[in-house]
Amino acid sequence: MRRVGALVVALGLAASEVAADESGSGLLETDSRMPHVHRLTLYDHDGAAIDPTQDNAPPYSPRMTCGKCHPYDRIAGGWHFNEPRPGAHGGRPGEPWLLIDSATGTVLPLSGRGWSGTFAPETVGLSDWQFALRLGRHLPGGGYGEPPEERRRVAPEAARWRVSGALEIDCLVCHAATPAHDPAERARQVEAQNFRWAPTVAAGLAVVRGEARKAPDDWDPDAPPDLDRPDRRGPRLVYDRTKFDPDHRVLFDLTRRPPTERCYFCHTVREAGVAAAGELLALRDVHLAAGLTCTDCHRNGLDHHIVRGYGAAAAPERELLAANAALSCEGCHLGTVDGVPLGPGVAGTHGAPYPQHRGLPPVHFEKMTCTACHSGPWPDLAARRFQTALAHGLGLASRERRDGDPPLVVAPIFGRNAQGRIEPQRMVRPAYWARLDGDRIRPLLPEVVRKLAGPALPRPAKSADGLPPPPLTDAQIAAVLGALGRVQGAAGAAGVPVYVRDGRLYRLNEDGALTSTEDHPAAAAYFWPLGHEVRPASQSLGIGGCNDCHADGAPLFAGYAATQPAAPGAARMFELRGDDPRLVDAWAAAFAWRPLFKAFGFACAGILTLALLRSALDGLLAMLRARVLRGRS
Amino acid sequence: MSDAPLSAPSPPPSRPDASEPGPPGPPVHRGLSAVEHVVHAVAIVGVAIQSVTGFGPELGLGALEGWRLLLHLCGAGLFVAGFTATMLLWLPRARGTAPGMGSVRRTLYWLIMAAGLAVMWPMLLAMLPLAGPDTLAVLAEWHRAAALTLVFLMVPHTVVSLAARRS
Repeated sequence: MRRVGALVVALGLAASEVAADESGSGLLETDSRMPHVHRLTLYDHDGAAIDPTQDNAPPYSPRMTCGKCHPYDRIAGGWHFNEPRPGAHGGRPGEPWLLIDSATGTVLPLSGRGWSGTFAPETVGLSDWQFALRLGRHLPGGGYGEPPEERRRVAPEAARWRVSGALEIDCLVCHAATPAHDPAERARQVEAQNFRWAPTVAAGLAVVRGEARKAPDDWDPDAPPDLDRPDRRGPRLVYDRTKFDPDHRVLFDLTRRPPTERCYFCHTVREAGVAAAGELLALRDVHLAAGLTCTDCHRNGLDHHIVRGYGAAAAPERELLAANAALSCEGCHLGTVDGVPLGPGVAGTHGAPYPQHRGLPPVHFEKMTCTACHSGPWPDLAARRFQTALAHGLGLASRERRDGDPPLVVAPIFGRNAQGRIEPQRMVRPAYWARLDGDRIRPLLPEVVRKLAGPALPRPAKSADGLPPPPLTDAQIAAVLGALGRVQGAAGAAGVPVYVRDGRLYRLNEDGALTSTEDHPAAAAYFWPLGHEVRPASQSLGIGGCNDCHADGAPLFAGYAATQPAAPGAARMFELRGDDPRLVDAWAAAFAWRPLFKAFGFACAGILTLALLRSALDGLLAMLRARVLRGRS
Repeated sequence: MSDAPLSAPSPPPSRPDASEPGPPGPPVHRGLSAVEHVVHAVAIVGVAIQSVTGFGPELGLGALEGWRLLLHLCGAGLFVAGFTATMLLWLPRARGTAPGMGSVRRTLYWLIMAAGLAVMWPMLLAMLPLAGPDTLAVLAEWHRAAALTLVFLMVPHTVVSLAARRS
């Protein structure tokens, strides 16, 4: 009977979703700027209302609960969730997912968005299940955590999907207005494979007993607990009934304008290493200091396509919208209508000051992005080491995290974007084992390498001070490549085993000796733009004059794309950009003479102007004199 | 800026009467000294470099950037030095305090000086932290328009100078 009821409710919800997708119909709307008070009945994954007083009450389903009024499937096509969707536009390259494995020396950039330099998870043999397990800690749900039902059914881990359920979009990850929702707790539930239970537990509505990862493949989450087989118990919820009103409704404290702190769970970037200034002195984005939040600029509509803030000219698809152009650096600070600057009189969305840029030749705006001068730390001769939430698991409490943990993410790197403009970027050098077949390279997952290489791979061991294991030596690389080659030869797999690290591609030659190639495309570093922290005008490149950049040894040109100049593969910024080094030197030398030229130029122009004025005055006086003389005569 | 015969021997210049600074008689040509030759050469090279690099896009030489822009900046030194020196060299004659310049050439001289100054000042001002990008763009347009005017003025100036040389 319960099943039938659930089916009826589900059909009703499906119908309402279809209607909700059509603008202006079927969607419960207040059309007020006052946030709607979400005092809600919770619904389980079958669409049945949850009674928290019942034993074995199921977890709530965001799809069924939030989706009752909001078009879940449409939202699931938004930026944070649409990565695996074929046809979803990838836009400007962003931070990739990084598959890290210290023991095998693996730092593999992954993305389903087709960004050059990344690998789609499925191409390296990483299933949706594996992706969700490894990286779901910072996945807001949906996407790889919630593949279509048919896909889950035929997946190699179909049984585990049945046990754990889908990792649905947890709306509260972003929209919780209070810290009651705990994304770190959610990450722990993902690790325990408690996908279905994660939103409920993270919201603090219940505590969970048990882990789905310990439940057998044939465990049925809908079946009542088997008292005779306690070992077969899966997760069970104990609801906090104080969170429910007498009608079993819960007050969700939600906001349409998520606080910055919610974004930080996935988007924190911290400086690490010896150059780090520490939290007390850490740079803070000038916009946040002025009272803005992330979502004041990175807005979205109901479709949840987040404005990424790089302007209309850079992105096709939705980002051509005028709203997107307006929510960029230029849009706020210059004011735009359809990408055309309006000028100082009407600029200044959010009170953004109109930039003066006095004495800065306009060519700089053609050749550089705003962020080149305004974002990230003030550049030094060497880049700095950073840790990111996605790459280093920031946001999860740990005593093990060290500044030197892989991957090595460095910034600022002054590279060129797709439009050829110089912009600050973050950089990571990929490291992975792979099979190279002609131009085609197929990375191997760390577990595959461990299995195939066997004893050739050194045992993973952390040093006493918690530092990650040292990088593999040439001898170790050669041994593993040899082992991979032997296994591969026996299996008849195509391609030569190779290892990529520090911008080099290692392989064994015909004699079995280790050789390495530089500049192989597969070994190229991956860059993504650095948009924050934005520095105010008074702390921007150029505030010290042209010599901030146009001087011998200026970081913009001569800085190293590494934390130390002597680091392996350390290249200088002009080399990374492919600039002509003679031209760079010539520019720097020319600007050394600029003050002298200015003085000389002003002197010459001044002398000639005086001569011109003097002659004009003389001519004028002569004319007057002649007129006076004519008058007298 | 070459405003006089560069190689042909000339009759000795007539000495103007110091008490009559007014318009001198018919133009009198004289040869240029080695220093004057150098000054003219520097000015000509400066104008040539600036014209070719500055109007590169119109001449099909590509945008003003990279090496071309650097050459333009370096050529600016030559242009400023050569132009100023040449103008000062001919200033007495243009002012009528020395013979050797007819009214047409004198008119062209002052127009060329005005155009040259209109070329120089916008870019000199642009090097100061005074104007924003919009104003800088306007200054660059002025610089460009003045440069074009200067180049066009050079044509009648050359014709008149050559004609004066033949006479």
